[in-house]
Amino acid sequence: MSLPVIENTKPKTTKKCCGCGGCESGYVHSTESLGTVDGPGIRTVVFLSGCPLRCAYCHNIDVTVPKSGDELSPQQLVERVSKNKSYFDRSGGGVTFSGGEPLYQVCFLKKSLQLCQTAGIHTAVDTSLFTAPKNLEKIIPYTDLFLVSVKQLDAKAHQKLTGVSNQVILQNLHTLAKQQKKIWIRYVLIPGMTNTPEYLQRLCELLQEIQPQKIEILPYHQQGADKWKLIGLEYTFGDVHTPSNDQINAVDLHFQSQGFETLRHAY
Amino acid sequence: MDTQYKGSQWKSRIDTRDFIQHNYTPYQGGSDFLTSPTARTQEIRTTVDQLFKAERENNGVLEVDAEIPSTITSHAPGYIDQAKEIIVGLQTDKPLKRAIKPRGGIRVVKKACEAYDTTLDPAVEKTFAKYTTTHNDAVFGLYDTWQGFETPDGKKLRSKSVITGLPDNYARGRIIGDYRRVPLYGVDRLMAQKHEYLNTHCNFPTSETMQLREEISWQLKALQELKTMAKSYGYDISQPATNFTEAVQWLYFSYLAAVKEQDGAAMSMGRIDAFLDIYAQTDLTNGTLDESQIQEILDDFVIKLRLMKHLRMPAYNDIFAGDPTWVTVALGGMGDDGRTLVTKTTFRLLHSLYNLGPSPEPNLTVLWSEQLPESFKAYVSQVAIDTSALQFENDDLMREQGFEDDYGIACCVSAMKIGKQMQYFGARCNLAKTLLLALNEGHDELDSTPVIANVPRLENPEHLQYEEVFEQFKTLLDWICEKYVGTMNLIHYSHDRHYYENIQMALHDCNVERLMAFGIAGFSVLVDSLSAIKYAQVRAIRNQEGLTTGFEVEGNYPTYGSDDDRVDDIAVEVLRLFHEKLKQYPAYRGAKHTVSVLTITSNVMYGNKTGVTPDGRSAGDAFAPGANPMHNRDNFGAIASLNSVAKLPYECCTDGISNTFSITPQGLGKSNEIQVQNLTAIMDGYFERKAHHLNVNVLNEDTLREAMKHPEEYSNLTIRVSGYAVRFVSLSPEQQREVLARTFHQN
Repeated sequence: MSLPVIENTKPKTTKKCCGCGGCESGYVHSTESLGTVDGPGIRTVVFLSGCPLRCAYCHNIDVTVPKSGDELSPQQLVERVSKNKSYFDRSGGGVTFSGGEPLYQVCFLKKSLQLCQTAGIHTAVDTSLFTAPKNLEKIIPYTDLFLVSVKQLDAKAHQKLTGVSNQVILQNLHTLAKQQKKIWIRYVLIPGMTNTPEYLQRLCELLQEIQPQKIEILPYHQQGADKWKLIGLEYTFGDVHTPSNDQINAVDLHFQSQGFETLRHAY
Repeated sequence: MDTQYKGSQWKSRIDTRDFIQHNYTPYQGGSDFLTSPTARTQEIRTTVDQLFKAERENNGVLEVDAEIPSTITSHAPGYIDQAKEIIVGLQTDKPLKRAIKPRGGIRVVKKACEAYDTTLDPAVEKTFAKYTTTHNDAVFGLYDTWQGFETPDGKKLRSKSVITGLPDNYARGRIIGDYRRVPLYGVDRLMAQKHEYLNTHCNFPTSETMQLREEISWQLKALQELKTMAKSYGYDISQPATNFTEAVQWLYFSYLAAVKEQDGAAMSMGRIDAFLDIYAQTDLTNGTLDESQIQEILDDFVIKLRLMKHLRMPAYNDIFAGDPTWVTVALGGMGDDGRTLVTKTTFRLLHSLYNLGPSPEPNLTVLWSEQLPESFKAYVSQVAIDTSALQFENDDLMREQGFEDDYGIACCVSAMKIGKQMQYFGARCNLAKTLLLALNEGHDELDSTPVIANVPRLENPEHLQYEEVFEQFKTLLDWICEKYVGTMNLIHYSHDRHYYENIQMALHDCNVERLMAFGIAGFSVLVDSLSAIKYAQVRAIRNQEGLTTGFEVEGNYPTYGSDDDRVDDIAVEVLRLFHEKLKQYPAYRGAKHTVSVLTITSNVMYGNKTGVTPDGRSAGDAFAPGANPMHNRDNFGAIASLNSVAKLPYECCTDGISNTFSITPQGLGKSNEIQVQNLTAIMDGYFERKAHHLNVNVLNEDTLREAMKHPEEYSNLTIRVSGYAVRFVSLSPEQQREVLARTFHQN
C-alpha cells in the first residue's frame, strides 16, 4: 500500500493556525446539521479542513485538504451552530468537531469550543489525537466528550496505515484518561487486520486502562472511495473486504464480555 | 338524548365539541394495551388484498358502473363478505366498483369511462349533456363571456400554465362534514335543527337568504336520503347511536353518503378519535365489549375507508398521482383546557397500520404539540419509522391561529373548524412562471405566446438587477392575483349552484364560515432565482425573439434550505406579498383569503411547463414539492433545511405549508431506540419554531430503486409525497424519478 501525496499539505501562507491562541479564523470544509452518528443525540457536525494523517481508507479525504471550504471566525461558526440548539437540548445532542483532524486548527478549535460551552452547547471532538500534547491541553477544558479513533496499536502498522507514528496518540489517550475525560473509542473493524484475537486482546488491555464510556464499532466501508477519485487520487484500500454481520457480532460480543458498552448500527 | 353522558350545552344545541370535552378520557399511557388482528379481520384483509391486486392488474380500475349516476341512494347495498363484516356499506353494490358522478361535468365522466374500456350509458350522457347544466358547463359559460380571462391572443388564461389544476372540471372537495353529528344526535334531530334555523334566520327572502334557504332544502333532502340508505342496510339512524358499534356505523354511513354524492379531490374524515373513544370507553366499562372487539370494529371501519375510490380521467394523475382520496383523519392534539386529546382510540387507529399493513389511506395526520404525552410521541415516531405513512402538523400553531381545538385537516394541510368552516379550494398558481413572465414582457418563455399585455421591457434585460426585477415581479403578482381571485369566485359560484355538497353541508352549521384557499407552486425555484439575482450576477441569455433561454450565474448566492436569513427573508416577503395582494380582491360570499404552499404531485407537471429559471434549474425540470427546498441545494443538512421552512409565516398561509422530509433509517441514528428519540426531538424542535407540517419518510433510496424495477414485489410500499401518502408503484415513472431525486438525508 503506498500512501497518497496531497499537494499543499503544508499551508504556505501565514494564516495557518499556529497554536498561538491568536488565530482569528479557521477553515470549515462543511457542516452537517443533522448528525446522529458522531456522539449522542442530534448534533451539528463541523468538518474542519486539514489533517496530518493520510489513512489509506480515509472516508473524508476531501476534508484533509487544508484551507478548503469557508473561512469563518469562531463567532460566525458558533452562530451557525447555535441555531440548532433547541434540537440539541431535546435530544441530548450538541456540536461535534470533526474533520480532517480538528486539532490541526487548534486555536480556532479552542475558541469555538469555548464559545459553544458558554452558549450551553455540549461539545465533542472527533480526533485521531495526533497532535502535540500542549495542543491537546488547550482544548481539554472545553471538550465534554472525546471521540477517539484508534487506528492501529502496533507502531509500525500505524505508520504504514496512516503515515504517522502512534506514539503521541497513545500518550494523549492516557492524558485524557488521567484527567477522567469522557471518551468514546471509535474502533474501525477491518477484517483480518483489527479483529484478530491478538489484536483484540491488546486493544482490550489498553482500553481497560483508559476506561472509555463506550466503544463504537465502525465496520470498514468503501463509501469514501469516490471522494478519492473526485480529487484525483487512487484509492488503494479497495481490495479490503467489508466485514460480515457475523464478524461484527463477534467483536461486539467480545467487547461486551470484557465489560465495555458498545455502540453500533442495528441491522 | 342519552342521559348517561355529561354536559348540557351539547344537549340543547348541536355542539359535538362540547360533548367530547365533557365526556372523553385522555390517555397518557403506552401502546402495550393494543391487540392483534382477529382471525375475522385477517380473513377480510385477505379478501380485500386480492381485490386490490385484481384492481392493479386491471389497469388500476376494477370495474365501472357507467349507467347509474351516483347519489346517496342510487345503489343497492354492497358487501365484501356480508357474513363477516361488522361495519357495512360500500359506495356501490360491489367493492371497488366505481360510480359515475356526472354533475361535475359529463365530458370528464365520458372520457374516464372510455379510458377504462367502458361506454357511458347514452341516456345518461344525453340527460347531462342536454337537459341539465353541469358544473363544468356553467364554469365554461362564465369563462367564455369574461374578457378579463382572455390572453392577448384570445386564449383562456387557464391554458397558459400559470393558474392550473382548477376545480372547473372536477369536484372541489376539501369540505369536511361533521360526520360525528349523526351518531351523536341521530338524523331527525339534525333535520329539526335545520328547520329551526330557517324559521329564525332566513325569513325575509333576499338573494342571500334565498340562496341559503335553497341550499338548506337540499341539505334536508340529503339527510332524508341518508336515512333511506342506512335503512337499505337494515339500520335506523334517525335516532342517536347507543353503543360503540352503532357510533362507528352511524358515523361511517354519514361519510359514505358524502362519497356517494361527491367525488371531490379530497374527501376528508375530520377528527373522530376522542369522539369514538367515549363510546368505546363506555362499552369497555359496561363489559359489553373487550379491547380486542373494539380494535376489530375499528379495523373493519378502516378497511372500508381504504376501499374508497373515485372514477377519474387518467390526466388527473398529473396533478394528483396515485389515485388518492384523502380520507384524512386528524389524530391527537391538545385541548384548550390543557388536557391532551390523545385517547386509546388514537392509538387504535394508528395500530391499524400494523393490523392491516401500511396503506396510504386513510391519510393519518398526527396533530403534534409540545405538550403531547411523551409515550404518544414515542409511539408515533416509531410508527413513522416503521411505515412512512404518517404526516405531522403543528397543533400548537393551529390552535394559536384560531382554529381552536376541534378542527380537522382537509386534504393534506388545510385546517378548518369541523362543522363550522368550509373551504373553496383553489388549486395553485405557478409563481416561478410568473417571474419568467416578468422577465419576458408577459410572454410565455416556452412558446412565445402573449399571456399578459403591456408588460414593459426591463431596462436591463441582460444583466438582471434585483430591484428592477422584483418591482416588475410585484406588478405581475398583482395581475395574477386579480385573475386568480376572479377565477375562483366564478368557479365556486358555479359549484355552489350546480354541484353543491348537500350531505356534507348538512353536517355543518347553517351559518358556516367560508375560506377561499389559494396555492403556490414553484416556491423554492422562485426564491432561489430571486436570491441568485440579488446576491450573484445573473445574465439572461435570450433568443431572437428576446425570450430567456438560459441564465449565466457568476458568484455565490445563498439557497433556500440553508437556514440563511439572506434568502429566507426573500421567501417570507414573497408569501406576505402574495397574501396581501390576494386580499385586495373580494372573494365570493365573503370568504376569507387563505394561502397554501402545497403542490400535491403537480410540482412535476408545473415544472414540465416552465422554462429555464435563474436558479440554474433546466427547462422542464420538476419543481420541489410544496415548500420544500430545491433538491440537493440544502447544503447544510436536514436541520438547516427544516429551519428554513420553519421561517415561513403560517399567519399568512393558514391553508398550510407542506414539507416532505425523507431520511434513511441509519440517518436517524444507530439503534431503533435512538432513531425514535431523534425523530421525536426533530419534530419537537421543528414545530417549536412554528413550522406547520412535516411528511416523514424513513426508507432507503435502494428500496425505491428496487421497487421501480420490480413493482410487483412492492405493491404495499407506502411513501409520503406532498401532504398525502401513495403506494410508490402507482406513481408514473417520471414522478418516481422525481421522488428519488429529492434529497435523502443520511449520515
